[in-house]
Amino acid sequence: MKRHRPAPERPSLLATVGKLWLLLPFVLTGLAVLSANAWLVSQRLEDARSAQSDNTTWLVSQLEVEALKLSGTVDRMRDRPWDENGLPALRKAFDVYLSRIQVIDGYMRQPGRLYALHDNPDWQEILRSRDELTRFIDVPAPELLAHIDRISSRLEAMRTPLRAFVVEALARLVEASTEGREALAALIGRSALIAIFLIAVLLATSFFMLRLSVQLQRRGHAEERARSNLEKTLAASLDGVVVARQDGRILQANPAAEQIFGLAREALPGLGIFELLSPVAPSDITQVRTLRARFDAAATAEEPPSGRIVFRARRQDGGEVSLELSLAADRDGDGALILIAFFRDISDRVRAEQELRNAHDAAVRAATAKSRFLAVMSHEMRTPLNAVIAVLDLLRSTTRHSQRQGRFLGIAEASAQTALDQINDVLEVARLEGRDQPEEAVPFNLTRLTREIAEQTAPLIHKNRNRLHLDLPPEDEAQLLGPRRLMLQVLVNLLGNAAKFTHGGEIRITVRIEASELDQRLLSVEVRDTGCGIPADKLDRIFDLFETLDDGYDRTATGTGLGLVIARQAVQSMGGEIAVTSMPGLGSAFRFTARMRRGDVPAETPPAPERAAPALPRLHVLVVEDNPVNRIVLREMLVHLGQTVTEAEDGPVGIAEARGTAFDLVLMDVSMPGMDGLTAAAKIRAGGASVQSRIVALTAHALPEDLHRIRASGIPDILVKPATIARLAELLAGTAPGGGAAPRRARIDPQVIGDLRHLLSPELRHGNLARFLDEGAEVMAALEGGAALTGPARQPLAARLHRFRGACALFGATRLADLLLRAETAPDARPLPTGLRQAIVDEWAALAVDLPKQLDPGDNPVSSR
Amino acid sequence: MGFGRRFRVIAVAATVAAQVFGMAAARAESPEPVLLHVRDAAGQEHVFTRTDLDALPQVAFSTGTIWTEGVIAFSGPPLRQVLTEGGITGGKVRLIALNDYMVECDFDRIDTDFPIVATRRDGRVFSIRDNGPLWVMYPFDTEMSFQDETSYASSVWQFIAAEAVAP
Repeated sequence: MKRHRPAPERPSLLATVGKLWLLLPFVLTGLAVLSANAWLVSQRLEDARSAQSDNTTWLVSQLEVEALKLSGTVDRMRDRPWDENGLPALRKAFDVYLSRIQVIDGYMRQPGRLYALHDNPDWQEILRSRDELTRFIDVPAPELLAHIDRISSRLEAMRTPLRAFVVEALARLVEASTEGREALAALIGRSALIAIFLIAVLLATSFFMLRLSVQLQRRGHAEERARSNLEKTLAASLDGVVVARQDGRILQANPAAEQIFGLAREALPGLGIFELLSPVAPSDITQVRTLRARFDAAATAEEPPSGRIVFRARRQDGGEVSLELSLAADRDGDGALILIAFFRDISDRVRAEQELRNAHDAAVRAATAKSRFLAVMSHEMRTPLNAVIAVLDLLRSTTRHSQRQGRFLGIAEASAQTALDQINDVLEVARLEGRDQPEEAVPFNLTRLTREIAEQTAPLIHKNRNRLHLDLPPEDEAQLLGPRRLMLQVLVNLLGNAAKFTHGGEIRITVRIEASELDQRLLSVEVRDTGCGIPADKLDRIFDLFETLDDGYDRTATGTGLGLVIARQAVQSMGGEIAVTSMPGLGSAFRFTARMRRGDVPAETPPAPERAAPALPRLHVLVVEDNPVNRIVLREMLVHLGQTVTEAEDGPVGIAEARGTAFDLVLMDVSMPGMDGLTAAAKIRAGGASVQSRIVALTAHALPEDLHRIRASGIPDILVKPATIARLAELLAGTAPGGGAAPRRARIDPQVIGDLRHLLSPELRHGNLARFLDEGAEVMAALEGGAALTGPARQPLAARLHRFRGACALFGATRLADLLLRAETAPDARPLPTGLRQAIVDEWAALAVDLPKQLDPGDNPVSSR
Repeated sequence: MGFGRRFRVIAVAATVAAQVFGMAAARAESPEPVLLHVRDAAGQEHVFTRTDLDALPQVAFSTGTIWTEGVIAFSGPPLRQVLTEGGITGGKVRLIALNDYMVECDFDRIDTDFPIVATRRDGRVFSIRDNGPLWVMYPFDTEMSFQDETSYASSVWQFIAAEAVAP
């Protein structure tokens, strides 16, 4: 907290004080001059006090008096010559007269006012007459009496110059005293002027001092007011304000601090902040430690580090309070460091935040629960739908119906299929939302994929009289490694939408592939149509979940409206972005990008030759399926196809059945309550009559990771629901009676044999065949010879089986290759099922006879060793 | 007053005494003339001859005056001493000169040492023509405070008498 200072006043005050210092020389000089003058005046007054002049005036005038007295004495002497007392009186009078002359003469010889009269002729005359008279008087009495008349006349003659001298001398004295007075007056006048000047200076000083005092007073008032305002502000503050020493000792606290600390305000000073607030949780301890660090930092830094500190503290009275705290540093009057802490009780806010968080968590939980519910519901609906589709299929195959009934059947099939598609969409959204693993990357060719999708969508495109243009890169540049399934979904959805909403227009798909890095590829795809377009106010929401469910774009046609949501999620999963531009009435353009790796161009594989539908073998089939409807449907379909069927409603029953009876084929539902299908399959393989039976997994999960999981458990054959008669027939056709070992394939693929015969010279064929037979014999010896395929020791054998399987594939020994795959992927740390081992050995024995015959029909067979 | 320390009070020295007695012997036939009359408050007349005055404690100093040229050495008994001898111990005192000049002053304001009744100028007795034979004298040069109207007025020359003034 900065103390409030009226900034402009401060320099003016200082300037005034500075000006006062400027006055000091004037005052000192004035005082010095005044003192000097006073001294001069006192000197003058001293002169005046000595008052030489008055005395001198008296002296001078007295001279004439004495002269007159002498004349009088002489006259009396002349009148009474007999009086003998007359002579001493005359001598005495003359003595006095002489003494007067002596005094004045001495006076005039000194530098002074009468010095100028020293040479005065009158005075000289007086001196001459004195000498003459002295000669007449300083004689014995008789002679003096004789001189009496001459003395008289001489005195008479002297009267005029004497008078003149006295008058002159008096005039001089008067003049001199006048000059002295004037000089004194001038001096006093000067003193007065200096005094006036000094008084003026002192008055000015006083004025400044007064102003200074007024300013100080005003500032004092202002500060007092500011302090009072501050105190009132703090008193009224809802935040607790505490002034503390650096060690946390409280100096002052405002009323709001009472509630925070739970102590009376008067009790707070002297207590330590850190003792009053003990942290509650470990995170609070950290915060309090931060606070203490700031207190310490305030000693060295000018301002403590800013920022709020939030912690929960236990008060002295045991109550808990959530505090928000900020800190400021200042110095008090003595310059000692003080810290001002502002506490805010945020308990309510924290509680509100917690409630909000709880509410949010609850909402999220509810939303998640809804999504899960939706997913579960969809999944549950899929099972009966599968049954519906299967039964419709069964109905079409097993019942004779009219053309009209056939059309009804078609509608029912289409509706069921649409419902299934929609449920799959919902499940796809839920799956994409909840996914935490990247989609499996597989090699695929984008150009080829796009063409395939275009072909699949062609019926819809043509139905709406649209033209489709494809602008695709060459196939050899479009080989990629990435989530093919996601790309497929995006393209299907975008192209499907374009086809649905465009009538009599044009659809263009443009695909570009750029190399962003060495192996990285950046794909950009645009699907542009000239359809009805999308209103601007919907554009930014069409990719949002549930937004599109409402109305509009997707609702006008068939579909769940989840297509674009799936597309967005799929694009995001591929590390790309999707955007749309549209003008209602003119069309729309969807663009998206994706990042994938470059894929290797695979060796060209010739298409499999068309095979005529083979006659189905008569097999004994075990159906393990918990859903009774599905079980019945499967049974009916299989019976329709001429098979013998045994049913099991769960895993344990299935295992028991399989143990007692050697089935040719086991159809095992994967998702079952209690024991799941994969576990049950493993147990069947472990021992019993059906060890060698072919097991096919039944699942509604067509997702790559599910299929991968099933294969990893040792079941290579998967039938994705819904099961149809056609697919079951295909499955049955590939199954051999008894062992159920080789699937639908022949022991030896004639196509491969054909190629080998065509491509290789007889010498090469013979060499390769010999090596193959040698390797096979070794593998079989290893299989038969040792209980090797158990535990860790199986590992090297598994690697050899894998390698041998590659060789089998090269020679078209497909049946053996399948058996080997099962052995490879059997669960670890378990003995290889005896039936499977036997099946491999038997198949090898048959192959070793058949393969040389087929490879070289005309040549001598290469016998195995 | 510190003058007593600065100006030696000279007791009648043997040489001076011899001089005086010599002079007195020369005029033995006629009675010694009275130089000063002092009348106390009771009207009692006291007379002082030069011998009487010389018998009193002596004070000597040198000073210039406004009436004389150069510095002159004066010596004689302090006025206060003389007046006390003449029976005057307080009140106002009138000092009288040969030409009937008079001046009054307070006895109490007369210092112990100054003024003196000078009986000698430069060590010699002095006549009426030299403002003698007695001259009330202040040490003007050494003490500025004496350079004032009062002191000048009471520097009575040709001093012949003093009398107590009836209150």
